[in-house]
Amino acid sequence: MSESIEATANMINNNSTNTPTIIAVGGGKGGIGKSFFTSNLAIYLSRFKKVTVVDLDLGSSNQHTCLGLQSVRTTISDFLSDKIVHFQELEEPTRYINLKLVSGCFDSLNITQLTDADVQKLIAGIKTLNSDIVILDLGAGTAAATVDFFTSADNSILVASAEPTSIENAYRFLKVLFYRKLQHVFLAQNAQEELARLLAHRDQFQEKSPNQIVKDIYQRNHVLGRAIMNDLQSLDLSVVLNQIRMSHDEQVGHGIASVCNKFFGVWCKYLGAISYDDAVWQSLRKSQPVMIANPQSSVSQQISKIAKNLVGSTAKTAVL
Amino acid sequence: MSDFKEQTYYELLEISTSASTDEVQQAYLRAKGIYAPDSPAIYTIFSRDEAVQLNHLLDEAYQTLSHHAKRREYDLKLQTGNYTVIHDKATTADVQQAKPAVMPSLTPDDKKELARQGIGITKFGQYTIDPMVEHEMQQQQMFDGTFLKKVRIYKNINLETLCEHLKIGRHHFNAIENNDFNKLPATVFVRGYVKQMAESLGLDAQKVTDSYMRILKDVRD
Repeated sequence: MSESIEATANMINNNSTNTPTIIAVGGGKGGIGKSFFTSNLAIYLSRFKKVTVVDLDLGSSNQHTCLGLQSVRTTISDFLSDKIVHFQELEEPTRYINLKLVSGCFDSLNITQLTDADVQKLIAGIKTLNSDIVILDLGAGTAAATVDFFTSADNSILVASAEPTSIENAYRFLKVLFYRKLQHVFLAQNAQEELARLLAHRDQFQEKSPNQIVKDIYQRNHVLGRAIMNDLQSLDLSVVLNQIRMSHDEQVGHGIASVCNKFFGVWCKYLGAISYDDAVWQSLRKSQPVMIANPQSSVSQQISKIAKNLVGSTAKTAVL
Repeated sequence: MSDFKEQTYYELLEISTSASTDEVQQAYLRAKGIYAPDSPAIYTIFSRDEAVQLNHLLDEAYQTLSHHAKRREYDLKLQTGNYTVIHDKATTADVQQAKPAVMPSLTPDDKKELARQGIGITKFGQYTIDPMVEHEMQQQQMFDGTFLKKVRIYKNINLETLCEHLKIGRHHFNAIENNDFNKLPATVFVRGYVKQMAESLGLDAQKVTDSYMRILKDVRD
């Protein structure tokens, strides 16, 4: 083991609890490389720890293809329909040591219509996995279930590209996340009336920044305002910029992180960028993660660097 | 958590209160790049007016925190709790009269240090130095519109910002960059525009102007 790999392994401390560290990979836009990044991050981390990828891109799952599995025995639908009782039974071994997959492959056609109870059941099931690290690969869009999976994780990674369409969707995703968080806190605090008032004046609120909205709530109700602030601050958010074509695109990554702070009031770390590279589609053709197909490529080096930044930045979480 | 209009200068620049002058400068340059009114990073988040206000505050923050005595006075206000609304908030009039963002003057030593860190500086902001592009600019002999556009994009300069700064119509710059010679005005004007454009891009104005005018002459003859 080289010195740098050993150092990284040492940074990943032993899990002192029985639950795995959960990393969610999301972002509003489709086709920006969430599944690609998930599979390669999993390959990197599986060199040090037991890793399970859970494909929650429900209805459009393809982690099994990214990780080179042609078919799977069980799927998430089996767990939701109680055909499978224990979530661990969904884990399929992959061809890579220390790396398992819970696939969404061949899910039932109504899998995209998850209820809150389904989401809670899945989150509870994910926490029972025996791996050290679980990586959730989320789908595009701003469905409540997707946002809830994203915020339930110990580390939430937003993937975006430098194009305006991607940036717009990333911010849209964060706005929905903000409102979803508000909703959860209001209900947890038995503040249904406040919530109803907020929703009734949603148009007015949308003209304000999330920061300002929280401040307004705090001025009216200190307990509620403080609870929302604590909830937002507990989010361990970071951003990865994918498919960059020019070095100064990196500024967009720093920019998204900064906007999270100034506009959303959420601390966000920029983990790094991945270049647009033909090595990626070449690896996809082989149904292999680029970290395996072309470990010397600049893309693989960039993913390793991002993973190290993630590991090194997780002082807030218990495990990484 | 607070709105950016109520953040301290340190929060605005996202630095600690013990940040060195170099760190202040780097944070300022980075923030100016991120929050330029046409920056993609603020798309759908801040309006142009809000971006102008934010830039105004960033300028204030830099001018205060990079000046030893002003910073000490500001720190004292923060420590004694006299910090309420220390910023000069940008008014609507400020916004309307706002000039395109132009960087404060840096000393040649500042620029050398930043270049050593891979950061290039123009009047309008910063860009990441790419040695291959820098070499290409040194070696280039033919400066047509396509090459000028390439340099502008490389140096992270927005066309609108450039037009506002030079007070030259955007259609003229479009015609220059697109080598659309039929849409260009009389030769004497073109020479002036290309010269100013080259100066703003940090290129050898004489060399660029001579080259562009030779191409224009060949086409018009």
